[in-house]
Amino acid sequence: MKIVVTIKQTFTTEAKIAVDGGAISDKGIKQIVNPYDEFAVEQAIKIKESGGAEEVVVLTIGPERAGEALRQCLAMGADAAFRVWDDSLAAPGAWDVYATVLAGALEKMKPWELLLAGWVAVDDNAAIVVQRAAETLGIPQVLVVNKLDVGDGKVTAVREMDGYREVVEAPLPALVTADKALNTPRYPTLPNIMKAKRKPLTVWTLEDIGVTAGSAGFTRTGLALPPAKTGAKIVEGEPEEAAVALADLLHTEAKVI
Amino acid sequence: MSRVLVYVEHDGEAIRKGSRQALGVAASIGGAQVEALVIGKGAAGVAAKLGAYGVTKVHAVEYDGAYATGVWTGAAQSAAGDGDCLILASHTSFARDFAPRLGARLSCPQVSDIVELSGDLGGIEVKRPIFAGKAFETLKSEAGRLIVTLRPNAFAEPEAGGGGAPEINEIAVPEVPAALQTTVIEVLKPDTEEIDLTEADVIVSGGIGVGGPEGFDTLRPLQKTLGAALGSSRAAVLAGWISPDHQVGQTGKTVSPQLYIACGISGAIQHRAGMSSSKCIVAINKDPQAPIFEIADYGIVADLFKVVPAFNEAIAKIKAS
Ligand SMILES: Cc1cc2nc3c(=O)[nH]c(=O)nc-3n(C[C@H](O)[C@H](O)[C@H](O)COP(=O)(O)OP(=O)(O)OC[C@H]3O[C@@H](n4cnc5c(N)ncnc54)[C@H](O)[C@@H]3O)c2cc1C
Ligand SMILES: Nc1ncnc2c1ncn2[C@@H]1O[C@H](COP(=O)(O)O)[C@@H](O)[C@H]1O
Repeated sequence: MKIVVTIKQTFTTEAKIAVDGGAISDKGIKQIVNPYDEFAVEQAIKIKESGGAEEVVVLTIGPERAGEALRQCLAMGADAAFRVWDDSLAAPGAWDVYATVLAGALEKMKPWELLLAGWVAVDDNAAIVVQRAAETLGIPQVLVVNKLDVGDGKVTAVREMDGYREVVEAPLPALVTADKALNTPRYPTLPNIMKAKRKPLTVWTLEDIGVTAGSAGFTRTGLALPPAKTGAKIVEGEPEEAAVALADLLHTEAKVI
Repeated sequence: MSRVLVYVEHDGEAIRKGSRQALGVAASIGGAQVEALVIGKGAAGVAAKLGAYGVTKVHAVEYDGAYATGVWTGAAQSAAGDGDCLILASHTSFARDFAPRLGARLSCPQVSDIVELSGDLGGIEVKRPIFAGKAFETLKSEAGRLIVTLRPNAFAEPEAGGGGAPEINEIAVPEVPAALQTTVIEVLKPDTEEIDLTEADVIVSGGIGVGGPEGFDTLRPLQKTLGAALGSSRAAVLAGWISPDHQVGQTGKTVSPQLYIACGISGAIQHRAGMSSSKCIVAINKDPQAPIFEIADYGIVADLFKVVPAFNEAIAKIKAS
């Protein structure tokens, strides 16, 4: 069995966001593998280690620097990596285009049986791209998964719904997206980081995968930081007194109680 | 006249809060004909209630089973039809599941988790948080067909009232090919009937400052008095003090309640990412330097074990009066 994991390179979660010339500045910001994609990569490697798969391949759509994120996945234990890029893909609001490109690359990478991904990219917060690609590819999906078994031509997964969980089965090939309780991603060891440098990383253009990108569904017309808060009104006094005063303020001033 | 189709989620009787908010947004779009899609057991009964929200036509699928991606996608595709249509849904686990696939089937763009919407079909503008609420982007689309999911609690609930009985278009349960079929084997309900964090009006949240699993017992009476949901930081989850369902933040739930009370939470950027859009934030923390105070509206610098019980009593008094 072959497993493909889609990953996106994103800012580290500590990053302070700044707007520069109408775009989000990436100056001085450390980039990482989208945390949910990292859970997906870990899961794929675990499946391979337990004998459930022969090959783990990672795929990203991203500029040259996204190669670093792929190298990290290779160092974790993935066998090969693919990166697709075209400068036209840099525009925001293009989830439809990304889904088309992802589906095109995944089509070219066939045969594979399991597609793993994060349930959302923490930067654009869309939860659209890989799910949309799954429809184009004609495969079922189980999203936001915290426990996964693969075997007998199917996946059995525990998926998170709003306020409850479900155990769900789907036939392979299928898409499974990862939530945070799925596993704890490993840190690549130094020898594995060295080994990863020799693993194959293939770069494709849109032409290579036979896709024309088309125009994005949305264009960005504005970008702003959230309005700065002026700091809390600190309620002074002995703890018990302050508590009573606070309750009062919430009732009479903030009107939230 | 443009069509707006709202996916309405329900429990067989009541309409989910986020869907009511979506119906409100639909009604605010000038000149739109508002239609609804209702799927599940009791769909017909729910459909009949929708006239009060200005819905003139309901596409109803009477369906007995658990949520299934293929059924929902197929039903939504039939309801959307061929022409121009703005499809609205609350950004719930169901919508997150079927909306992207619907987008692929209808070959139309989708935007998710928005907090503002203006314009009308053919020229819509939305605002949405990116980088976990550390920035907001405004996006515009001129597409005639479009799917938009709305962040729960980011929009006001409309008043229901008036409106005649909507026309009902019954849709047969769509066939799903075997290769696309997902089967629910078991539903795992939580032990307690907790209020869902994402739709809660008030959240009482605890972090490492509560000192241990028992520490959350100090928060429970306050949670009860306020009819609140219980949240937590990731550190408290990692310590094993509370289940991951309660985690608020970048890798937890994103919430926007009217009132968020952070007890013994430092306010790390990843925690703030999930709660900074709350309307009113209260922080109780012994450390005056804790970053949570930077985004809080009100704060008390003290031991939460002294503050919370007294605070609870004071609120109970206000509620009783
Ligand atoms: C990739 C990534 C994702 C993450 N995602 C999340 C996320 O989704 N959600 C999240 O919350 N965190 C997340 N984190 C973790 C985050 O960085 C912080 O470690 C975490 O939020 C800290 O939790 P805390 O505030 O409970 O603990 P601490 O930072 O230890 O703070 C405890 C606070 O309690 C106060 N305190 C102690 N005793 C008392 C008392 N008796 N009375 C009053 N105050 C008291 C202290 O002054 C302190 O401010 C993530 C981290 C990473 C790297
Ligand atoms: N540029 C990309 N390259 C590869 N995979 C991506 C890309 N964007 C999104 N994905 C995948 O789709 C998932 C959901 O992303 P999003 O829809 O952007 O929230 C991510 O967790 C990735 O696995």
